[in-house]
Amino acid sequence: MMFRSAQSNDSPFEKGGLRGIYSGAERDVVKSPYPPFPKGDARLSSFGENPRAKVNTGSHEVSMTLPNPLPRPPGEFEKLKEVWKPPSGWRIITAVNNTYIGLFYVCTAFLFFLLAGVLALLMRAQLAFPENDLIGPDTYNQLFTMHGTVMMFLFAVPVVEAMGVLLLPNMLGARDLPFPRLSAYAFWAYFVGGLVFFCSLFFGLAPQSGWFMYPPLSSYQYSSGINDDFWLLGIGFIEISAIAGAIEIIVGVMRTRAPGMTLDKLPIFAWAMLVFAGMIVFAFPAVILATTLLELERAFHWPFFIAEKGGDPLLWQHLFWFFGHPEVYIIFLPAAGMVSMIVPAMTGTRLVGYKFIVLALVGVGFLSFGLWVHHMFATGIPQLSLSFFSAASMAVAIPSGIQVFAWIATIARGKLSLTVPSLFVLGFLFIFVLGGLTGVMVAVVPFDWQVHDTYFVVAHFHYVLFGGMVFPLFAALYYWMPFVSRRQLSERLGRWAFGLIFAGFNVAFFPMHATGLLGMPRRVYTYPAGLGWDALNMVSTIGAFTIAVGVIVFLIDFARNFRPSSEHNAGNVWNAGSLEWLPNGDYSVRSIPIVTGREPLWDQANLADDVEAGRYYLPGTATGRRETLITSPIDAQPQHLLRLPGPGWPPLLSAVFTAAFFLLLTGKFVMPAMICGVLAIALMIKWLWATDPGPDHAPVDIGGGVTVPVYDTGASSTSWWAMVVLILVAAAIFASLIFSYLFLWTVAPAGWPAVEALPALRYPLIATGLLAASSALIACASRALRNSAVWRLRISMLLAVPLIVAAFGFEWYGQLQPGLRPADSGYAAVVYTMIAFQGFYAFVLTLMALYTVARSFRGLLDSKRRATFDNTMLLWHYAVAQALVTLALVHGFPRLLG
Amino acid sequence: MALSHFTRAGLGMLCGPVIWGVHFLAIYVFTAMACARRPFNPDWVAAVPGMVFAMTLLATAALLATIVPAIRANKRSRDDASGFIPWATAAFAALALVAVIWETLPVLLVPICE
Amino acid sequence: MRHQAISRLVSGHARVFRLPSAVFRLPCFLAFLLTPLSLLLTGCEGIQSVFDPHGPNARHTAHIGWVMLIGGAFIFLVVAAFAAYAILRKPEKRGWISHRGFIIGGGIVFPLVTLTALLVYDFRTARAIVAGLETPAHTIEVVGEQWWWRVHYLGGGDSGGGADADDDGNAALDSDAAGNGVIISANEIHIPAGRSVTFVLKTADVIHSFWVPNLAGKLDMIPGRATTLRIKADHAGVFRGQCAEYCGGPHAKMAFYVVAHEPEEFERWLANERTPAQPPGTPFLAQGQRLFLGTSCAVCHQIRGTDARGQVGPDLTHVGSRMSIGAGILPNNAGTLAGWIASSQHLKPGNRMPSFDAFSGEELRALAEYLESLK
Repeated sequence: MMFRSAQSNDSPFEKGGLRGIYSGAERDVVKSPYPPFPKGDARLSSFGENPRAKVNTGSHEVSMTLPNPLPRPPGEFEKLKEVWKPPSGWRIITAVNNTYIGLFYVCTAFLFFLLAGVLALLMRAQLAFPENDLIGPDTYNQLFTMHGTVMMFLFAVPVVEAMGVLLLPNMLGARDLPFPRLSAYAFWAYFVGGLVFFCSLFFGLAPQSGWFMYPPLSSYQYSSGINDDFWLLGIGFIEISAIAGAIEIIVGVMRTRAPGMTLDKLPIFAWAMLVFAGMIVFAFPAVILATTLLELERAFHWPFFIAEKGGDPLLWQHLFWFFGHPEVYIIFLPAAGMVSMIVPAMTGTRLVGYKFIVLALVGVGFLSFGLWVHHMFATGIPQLSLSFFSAASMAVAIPSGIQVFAWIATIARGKLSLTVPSLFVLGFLFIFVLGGLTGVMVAVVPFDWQVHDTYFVVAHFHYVLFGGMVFPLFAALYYWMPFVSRRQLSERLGRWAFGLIFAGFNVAFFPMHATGLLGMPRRVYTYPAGLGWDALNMVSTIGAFTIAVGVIVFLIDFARNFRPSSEHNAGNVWNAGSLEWLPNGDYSVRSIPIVTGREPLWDQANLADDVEAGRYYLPGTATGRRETLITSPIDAQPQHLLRLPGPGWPPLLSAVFTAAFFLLLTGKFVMPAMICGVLAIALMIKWLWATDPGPDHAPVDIGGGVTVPVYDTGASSTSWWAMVVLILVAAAIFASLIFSYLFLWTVAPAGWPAVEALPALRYPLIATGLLAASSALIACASRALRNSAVWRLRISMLLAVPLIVAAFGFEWYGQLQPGLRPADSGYAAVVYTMIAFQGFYAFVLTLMALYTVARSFRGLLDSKRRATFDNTMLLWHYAVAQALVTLALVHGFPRLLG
Repeated sequence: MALSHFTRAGLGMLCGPVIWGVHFLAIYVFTAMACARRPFNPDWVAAVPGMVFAMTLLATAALLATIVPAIRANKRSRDDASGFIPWATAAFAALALVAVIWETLPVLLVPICE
Repeated sequence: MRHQAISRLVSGHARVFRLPSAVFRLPCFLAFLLTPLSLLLTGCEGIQSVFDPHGPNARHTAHIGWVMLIGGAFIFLVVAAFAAYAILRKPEKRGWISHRGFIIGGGIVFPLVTLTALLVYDFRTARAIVAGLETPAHTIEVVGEQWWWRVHYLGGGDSGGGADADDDGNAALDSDAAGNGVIISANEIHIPAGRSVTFVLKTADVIHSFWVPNLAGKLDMIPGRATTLRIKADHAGVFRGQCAEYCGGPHAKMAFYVVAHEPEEFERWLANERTPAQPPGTPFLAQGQRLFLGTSCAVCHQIRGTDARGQVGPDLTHVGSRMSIGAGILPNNAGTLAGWIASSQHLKPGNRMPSFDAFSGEELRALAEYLESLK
């Protein structure tokens, strides 16, 4: 029976319930009065005459028929293993399996943790004594800039993203993430870019304007070397890698869950990663735009942040902190998600207040966007405005409180075994609660006026970040080690590591509260004796080195016991309940389970054996390729089978060339940079060419009478979802740009031209016409494709390209006419940036249109196989909409004022 | 095209936080502009409290309009799975309501542009 | 007490660390009892301590700070106790904290109540600080520069305060260029005690932040803006301040002192400051002056009453009367002055003044003593 995937199949919640999930098997339904917990499971009894499995829900047992009969055909399992096997030897670097990329990713991120930690030790050594001259100001300034930057951009965000890549597919019962090569690309870009960026330190070329890079200090007048360009370009493109990962995670969590894993059964870690990825989509664009603007100012003197020219340094602070504050929660939420996975496993009981924790995660995700001015309390912003942010900061404390009490309640309900993961979780609770309380303190405006930019704040955010994220990370490393390694880490060494890190942390950072209250500012390379700071600093230094010893103990443990293996991993040593503890291999799980509860391994007796025996869905490879099951976003009903790519060089090489493009550009090697850029794009096209395979395989039976197509287009396809998320990113960048325009207008209205000084109306009118025509042509091409009118499609697309390029050209030329130049003023700079974005989209769309037409010529595009065209079309319409808004703003707003 | 289940459920769940976001941006942007324009146009500053209260009333009404039906839907639902989305819709909106009310407090207590 | 500590600081004899006697002050004592935060006690007193307020603004902040520290410590202990209870108490006894009610009570109701109260307190404190002081008696413009502070005394009243600060401040700068008796100084700010004073804060280059913890919270100095800060010192005394926004290079060595005088003493100081520099009284000092005027010193520095009219560095008309040099980093005497001239790049690496190591020892002494004589 065909399982149609259209979105409309999902029933609205107003109807008060899900339609029988597996309506495909309705003929076999025997409505039996099974016990009610977990509610609604009765429908799962609807599977044919297959073997029955017991669903243990604690007090009741429910039997359920399984989709696939035993014995499995010979060779099925071997074939599955064969298909998912990564390359061996050194070619392992071309692997794209999420477990391999995830592991590389976690290890690389941890390497950056160690490197940035060494920088911290150097700083602590310098600050051990007053007036110490171990390290001079230039080096010290590079050290603290790099420490912050590396910890935030190269460790904290990547490591949680990496944990997501590593764990999510197994946790969700998927075989892999929906875009394995995108993960590989994101990882390698980060790996190469990150290492080169770090090495700038060895040449004295590291940025030195702080991780927050405030202009004018970071702009060309006060930082003339290429140091700060390294930050802007290096970090700028690592942000792009983070966004690639976020897209992957959103689509993965929403669309690759095991059947039956409805939103209320989603593991908390997956919820946390979903919120994390959603936050990246809206927060990172602000800093991407900010870095773009600052680089334009540094390279071409477009004065966005120069007050004398109608710019404003505060614009940077708004954009940076609009990213920077959510960033803290971006780092913290996944860590909280890990804790919510570890606590039930360690206490042997279900999480108390699951729904409240979901509320907390989503609530924080939103409210944290209302806190950015929190970092700007001392900039002289109107008192009432500050108070709004103070209130929002208080509101964000509620969800954090909910989580803390939920964990305590869970511990009270079960029996906590004091393993190393438990110890790190308890350490996290202790430290994070303190950090949260000082967080409330710094949210109080007058108090913040005193402690802002002092060591009190250093103490606060290390309590929140180290306590809130590094402790859970260590807990997670110990907890999930049996998932990736043949052996567990040692309990004995683990206790030492915990003890040293916990004691060292508090010895290092607790005194800093006092140091700050005694008036010691941050970011000072030295301090005079006699202000009461001397002993406290010495204590902090001792603590910092104690942490280092603890980390070394961990590394010894790691070296002794880490034996990576997915097939022969140590397995479910904790007797945990979530799906990643199913027996697994490179193929993830043998068969894809039906999930009936939040802790499937506890709720469904014999689940592991049944999954391993292949009794559940898709026990082999149905098409002879790598594949994963795509399910509907809310109810998790099977929709179609997504075929996944195997290992290959293009993602890796393309990532290397992308990194080279940005880094060469930093060094002002324009020609080599361009060559690398072209190579990167060429390799991407090579890799994309094999995607969008079309419905070239008959729908496959995944078991239980469920037949799903192997291809889907439109709103149900994963590529459509990815493109929509990408468009949200683009829209967020554009919104930040509109904010910049209006912000500069409020602070420097004098820069806005009189109506007479604007370009003549004919320019925007012609541009509008061209844009509308190009969009119409694309719509026409879409209809042509539906009707299989091949030539009409090709001609429409090829005509649309010059139109959108010409629209950009007209607009740029029009602005030049009254004599406006980008370097003239903040106004001019922001207007030209808006138009330049239009040009950027025109360029990208030209490539995409030519690519789409080329596929049409090769017969790779038809009325069914149209995902490639759909993506081009979506972005096209978005770009036109953005351009029209730009035109309306740039030409309409000054006229409205005049 | 009718909205899909996903779109409706998603929009429903995010109603609360989005209303909060709009309210927050509105009061922040209006206050910032009023204070920035004070030298040219002092009337704006006088309008700030009224504007903030009006926005808060609107937001509160919208949030209640989200919460009440969601609670009803949750009560009607037969099981955890179908009750989850209405529960989340109501809870997110309730949290948003707290934030909206807290953000209105300072208008009563704090000088506007100092 | 604090005065001695500061004078020890500026005279180069740092005091050693010790636990302060302030343990016996009530809030400190409470904190000591309630928390393992006893280390925070050291925050009760100190040259640059937030919890050693000497003016109404800092006092308001210290109050709310104490309330939050003690309250926070209490909440922390309760949460830690719950966690310990959840782990250690017998399973059958601890059931009451394993329900949703516990989460709702502890995670929602309790924070709602406490945080609402704290918000009201927060807003009332902010109001008291922003709008609490009477109309200021003096307006002083401070311009942050990499890595020192230029100080203009703009005269009485609130002329520079409020929204029109920018215009007035610039007007003052113009009159300064014309040399009409505007008092310019550097790295040391004198104010009348017991009177409220308006600071108009600007920057000549990057962002700095003006912070005197004993008197008030910090306020940034941002290009293109003039921010205003009203403060009052309760009594005469010396208070240390420091740049609190990273401004590159030797940001760590950008300090200053605020000296609060009794009002009539302040007027006397102001009158003296308004006068041009004293002519050198001895041939040796005259040699120092000749060296100053004849070398590149005068290109950057101004000494009113002489031909030295440089505007790049600090005004040195009354440099001898200041407590410290190098933006609060060294005590001021002929020896340190000579050391500064000869090796300022060693003492404050990266600062804008080159080390002038070409002077002979004798020349250096003449220069330094001349400068020291400029009281």
